[in-house]
Amino acid sequence: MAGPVGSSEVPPSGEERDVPEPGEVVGAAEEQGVGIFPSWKWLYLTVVLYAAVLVLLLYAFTVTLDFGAR
Amino acid sequence: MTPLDWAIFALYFAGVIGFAVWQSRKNVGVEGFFLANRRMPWAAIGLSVMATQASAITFIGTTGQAFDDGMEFIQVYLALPVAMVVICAVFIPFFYKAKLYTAYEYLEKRFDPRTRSLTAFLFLLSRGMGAGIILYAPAIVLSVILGWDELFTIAIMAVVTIAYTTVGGITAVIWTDVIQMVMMFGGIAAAVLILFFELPAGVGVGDVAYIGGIQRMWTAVDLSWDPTNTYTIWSGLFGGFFLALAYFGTDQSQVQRYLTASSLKDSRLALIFNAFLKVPMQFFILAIGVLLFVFYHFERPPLVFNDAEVRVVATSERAAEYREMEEEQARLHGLRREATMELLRVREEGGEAGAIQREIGGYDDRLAEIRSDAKALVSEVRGAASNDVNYVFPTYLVQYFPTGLVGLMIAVIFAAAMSSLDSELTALSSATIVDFYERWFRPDASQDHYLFVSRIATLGWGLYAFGVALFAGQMGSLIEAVNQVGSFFYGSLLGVFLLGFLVKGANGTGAFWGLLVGMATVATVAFTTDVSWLWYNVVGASTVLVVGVALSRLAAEGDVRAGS
Repeated sequence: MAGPVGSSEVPPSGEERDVPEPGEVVGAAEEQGVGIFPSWKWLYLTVVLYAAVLVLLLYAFTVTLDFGAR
Repeated sequence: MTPLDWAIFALYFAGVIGFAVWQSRKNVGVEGFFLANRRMPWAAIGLSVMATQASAITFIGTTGQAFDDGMEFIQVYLALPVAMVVICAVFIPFFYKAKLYTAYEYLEKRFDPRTRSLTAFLFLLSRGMGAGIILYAPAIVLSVILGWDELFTIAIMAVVTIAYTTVGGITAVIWTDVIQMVMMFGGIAAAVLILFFELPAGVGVGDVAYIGGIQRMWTAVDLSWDPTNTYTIWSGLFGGFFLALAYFGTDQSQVQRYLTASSLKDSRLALIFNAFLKVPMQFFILAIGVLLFVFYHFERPPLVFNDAEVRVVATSERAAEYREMEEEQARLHGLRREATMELLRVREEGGEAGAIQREIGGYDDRLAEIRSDAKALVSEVRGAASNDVNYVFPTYLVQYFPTGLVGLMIAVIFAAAMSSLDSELTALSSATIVDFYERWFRPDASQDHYLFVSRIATLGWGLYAFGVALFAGQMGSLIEAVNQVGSFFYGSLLGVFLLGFLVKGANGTGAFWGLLVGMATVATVAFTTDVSWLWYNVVGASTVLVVGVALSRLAAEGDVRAGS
């Protein structure tokens, strides 16, 4: 917001803001560790694997608890 | 409700308002009001993201949906963790680096003012209506179940939410969301446990799984390829992925949450938190619906749960027809109950249960058919779609929950509604002030002025939502209604953001006209085909990307020719 009160710490919503270009790597934060994970990439990979495991578990759940056709 | 229930209910409201006002005392200026001065911890943001998405519609609508159709709705959420990874890796860095107040500001920086204004306008249009439905859904249900006046129920929720949101801004919203989300977790756990305790003695977890499995109520993955089938693994993985990407990545009600974090890392952790917890939470909410299905093998359920609709039919000329259905339902339920008890006895003795199981399956089918016919009859008499799925869980709560816990669970339903409504109000208000008022009308006003008009905008949107809630009317299953409204815009909005993030040569012409063509395409698909609404997001985003790239190239070539 532009304006006299607190304008030094509040970035305006106008033209001064920096917008990265498509494909630009934003910061070196990607390679920093996150908790027990050596980098964000490992955390992301863990989430994707988690999603895959959920699908497999739910499929197993579906098949195991389908008593309709027996 | 007993005096104890009322006391717990009142305590909840007092606690929420007091906590919200106390937490918001450190807010400074407009950045404090809309972004909590960018100092919120990631766990609080994560819970707020979850609470915003999990409205009362989710809580009462999906349990009812699972009671009728089983666990299949969970497929919508299966791609959510992957969508969260994409948002963390691709979307958040752009938003964070640009130090935005709203997601749509990015589109002006990347493309042009008209693309920003159009997307912000579409957000206001769809979310303004959505805020009303969020308010209406639990209010109409609770007014029927508890006998409260509908206007009073809507008003109490609206007034309290508007009050703490207008006074405390996003800080109050996020911290109350934390309390409300914790209450929801407690409510889900209590509902599952009490459902088990209410079953007849000797009925164990294995029996529950078995009885639900006879009617395939536990089916959570459907591998069929039919695009007109709403809930399949494919519509979930593809349509659900695009829906989650659009909602969590471009909708101001969610983006605003992670813009309040003090660092890029904290913004990301808030979404990763959701990536891990959202699917299990939804699993347990749906499981409540299936447990209700099993529970009502032993207790006779109402044929139609919405008592107000039943009363309308009972005084119509088709009352006799409905009574016949009720009598048939009572007869079949008695037979099913006997067969179910026999099944349990045979299973305990280790005997062959195949014949009894088929008998129960037959009763299940017939009872589902009668319930479907009864809902159709109600719809015909009332001239509007039946929304009975939303009454299943609250009816059970009031009839079977212990004293004290009823008040708590009603408070949980209120909490779910209010935690979504408050987020919508701050998001609508921020888009109104930042994307329109400041951008087009008063770009150089003081912080005090912006803070004042931001509060006015929050109040205004609250009153608008209140008005919509009063006229929301009959919209079938409310969870689908809200998602359907969003799906007309979501996919195309996502396409514009993807164009900005991923395509270097994309320009304002491609983005603006691509967005319009994308929405027109989704509308055409929606009105001329039977394709499930979950695919609309895929259609919208893909169309915007293809058309946006093509038009951007044409516009660029035109500029080159004009220059030479």
